[in-house]
Amino acid sequence: MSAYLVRRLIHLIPTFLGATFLAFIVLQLAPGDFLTRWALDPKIRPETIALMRHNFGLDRPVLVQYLIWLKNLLHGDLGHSFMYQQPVLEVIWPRILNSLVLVGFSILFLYLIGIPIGVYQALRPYTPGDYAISFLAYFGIAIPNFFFMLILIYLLVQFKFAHGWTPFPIGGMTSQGFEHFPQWRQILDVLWHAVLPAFVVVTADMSSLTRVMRGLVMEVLGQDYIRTARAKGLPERVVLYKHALRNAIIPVIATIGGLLPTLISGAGLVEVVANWPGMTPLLLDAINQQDLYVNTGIIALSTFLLIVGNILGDLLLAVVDPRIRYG
Amino acid sequence: MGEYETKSHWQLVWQQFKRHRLALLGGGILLVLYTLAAFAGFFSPYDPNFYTLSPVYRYAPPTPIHFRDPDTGRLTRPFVYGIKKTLDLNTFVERYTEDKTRRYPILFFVRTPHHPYTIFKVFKTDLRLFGLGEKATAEGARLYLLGSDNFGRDLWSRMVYGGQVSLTIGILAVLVSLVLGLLLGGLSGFYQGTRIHLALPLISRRTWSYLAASEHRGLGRVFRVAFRFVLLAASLAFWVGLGVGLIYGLWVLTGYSGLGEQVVETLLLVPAALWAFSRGLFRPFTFDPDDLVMRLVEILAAIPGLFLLVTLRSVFPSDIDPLMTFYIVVAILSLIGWGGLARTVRGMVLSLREMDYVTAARALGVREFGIILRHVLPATASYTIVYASLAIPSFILAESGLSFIGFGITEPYTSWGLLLKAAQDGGFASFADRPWVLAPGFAIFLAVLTWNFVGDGLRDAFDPRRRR
Repeated sequence: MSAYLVRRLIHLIPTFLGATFLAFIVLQLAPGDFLTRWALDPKIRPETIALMRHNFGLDRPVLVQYLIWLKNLLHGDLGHSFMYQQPVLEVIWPRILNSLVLVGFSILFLYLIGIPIGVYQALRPYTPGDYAISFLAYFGIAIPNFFFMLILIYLLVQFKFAHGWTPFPIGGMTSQGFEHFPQWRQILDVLWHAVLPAFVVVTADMSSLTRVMRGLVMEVLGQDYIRTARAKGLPERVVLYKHALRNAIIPVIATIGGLLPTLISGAGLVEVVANWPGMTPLLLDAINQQDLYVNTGIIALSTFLLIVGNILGDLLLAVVDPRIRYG
Repeated sequence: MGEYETKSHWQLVWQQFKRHRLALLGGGILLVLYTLAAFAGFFSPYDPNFYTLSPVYRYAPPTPIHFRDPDTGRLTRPFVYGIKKTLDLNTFVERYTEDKTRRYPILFFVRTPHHPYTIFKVFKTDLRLFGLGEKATAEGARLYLLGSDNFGRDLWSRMVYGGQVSLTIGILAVLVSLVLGLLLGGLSGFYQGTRIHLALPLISRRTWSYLAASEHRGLGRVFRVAFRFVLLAASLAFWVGLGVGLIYGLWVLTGYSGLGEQVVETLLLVPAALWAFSRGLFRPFTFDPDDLVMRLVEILAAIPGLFLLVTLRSVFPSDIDPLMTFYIVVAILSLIGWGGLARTVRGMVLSLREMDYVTAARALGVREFGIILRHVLPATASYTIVYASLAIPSFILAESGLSFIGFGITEPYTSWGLLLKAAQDGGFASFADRPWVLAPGFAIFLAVLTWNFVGDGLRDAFDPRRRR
């Protein structure tokens, strides 16, 4: 097991190097750099820009910039943001926490609701309830997340026009006067803001999770050992929870490791539409501003977590399924 | 006497597909959507970029269509009223009301000589399914089925034209990623385990005997030996390049380092360079094509999808030719999409290449590329078709997202995602006044939903365990 782990971790290095190098090259291929738009400002002298470019290291060859970035990474230094004039980690860290709240919340939703729904469908297949849920699941897959969020916001705004208040806040992460709230109220406030975006994020994943869960449970219920368990007179509850579910849930557990990077990379365009100050808006800003090290930092972090998440998923699988052994 | 009917694989699949009601429904709706997009000019009353500056109808609501004559109250042919524009002096928002004094009937199969269009860029015509006619348009009357946008352009016409981009981009991206995935996945699986020589060892008896030996005589032999010395020179260049590159890297890196770091870097990189250099003298440098392709797939899969999309798109300036932008978006989408297919195809090819019929083809002297194309890849057809039909909707979604944040299609072309972008302009409160700008989102939804229906139907039809 430990030998396997070491092998996987060593394997991680070239993939990580490749991915970050690719990102670095691609980011540098974009025409111009962070200082290009400054050059249009007649108040700033060209010499100043040349000096700043030198100070930022933007006049060095790309390969050199990458090597230096890599060297600093080994010291735990992700570089300096041009736009915010802060270390990259300090820029990214609060955004990571914000995204974490939103995505963590939605993942909790996902598993608490998705698994029971899938099991329910598998226990009553081909009934109106099953068909209704399957049909809803199609909607969840087909509706673009950002569009769903737009519709919800539209409905909220209409509700506000009609009644003067809203059951959920319209976009944003905090209410006015957030700084003066006591801590418990701050937490509640953020969660209250997260409900709708989290709901939207969940819809797409929920559809596939219920579908997978339904298929898995149905397959297991058709196995011989379930018939045996029933034949020896076990109560249906024991058959379901001890014999069927424990086996059916294994592939779902394998996917949990894959969730790690989404915790960091955030909820995608939902964050943009809902004005949630998470990772995706930060990345889009940084790309537009060509804030090189923020970009590379975000990609490096999420790439690292993606790879680690895959390894964790495999390990988790070995823990829950005794049939799987890694030599 | 029972007669047995035999059915081919494809007949069986088609028979199964026909029994999947949702898939048939989806197929039907898709047919309608694609027809609308293909004959966009015919189905849209206006040119997608048509707007006037006087009067300018910014965000006009959908024009109400009347079926009853206001005087007699009897059913009559559908007509619309002219538009009266007023400015709300409190909010400075334009309000549009009906001008009941002017009535314009909706004409069918109307010609618009001043606004011709082309079908497939070939046939030029000006026949439109419906519209108010050019005279009514000149008088300021408009038929906005779904309202207008910030320039006063007809949203329905723009949506129909946007469908051309949104609906084809998925198919094009799937085609490109199919070619990439099948080719690279197929090659990677078929040649897994073979070693490709990048460079020959310089100090090795085998290298020199290989270089000297030749079955040819005379001039042929001279060419042969000459070619092999080119190989040798290339190998030499490879090794020298590697060593020099490492030394150069060290030199550059130490130029930006403090003294302590310089020592560490020297201690790390000099031995590495020496080792690489000396190893090249004695042993060949080889690689497995399978390793190369699969590492590439892993690297692409390691970067979160949306981040990779946005990053790749940012390479190209936003002011390049709009048509070029379209192709770039296709290229980026397929670059992201081929990896998963390649990985699965590789796995299938790994087992397929051991099949007896492949050995038979080999024994018959079929060229290896021919074996891959004719005997190995067709066996992955059913998986590939299902993959394609389920990848198209995900590409449509990806394109809409990219265009929505302004990283995709650019004006004057339009796509459903780009049209939705208008909903974001001016904040939440203002788009509550014009809900019709959300319409393109429902088009995305419908297209993705129906493609998923079709994909699921195909998957069930190809799966022998799900035969009904």
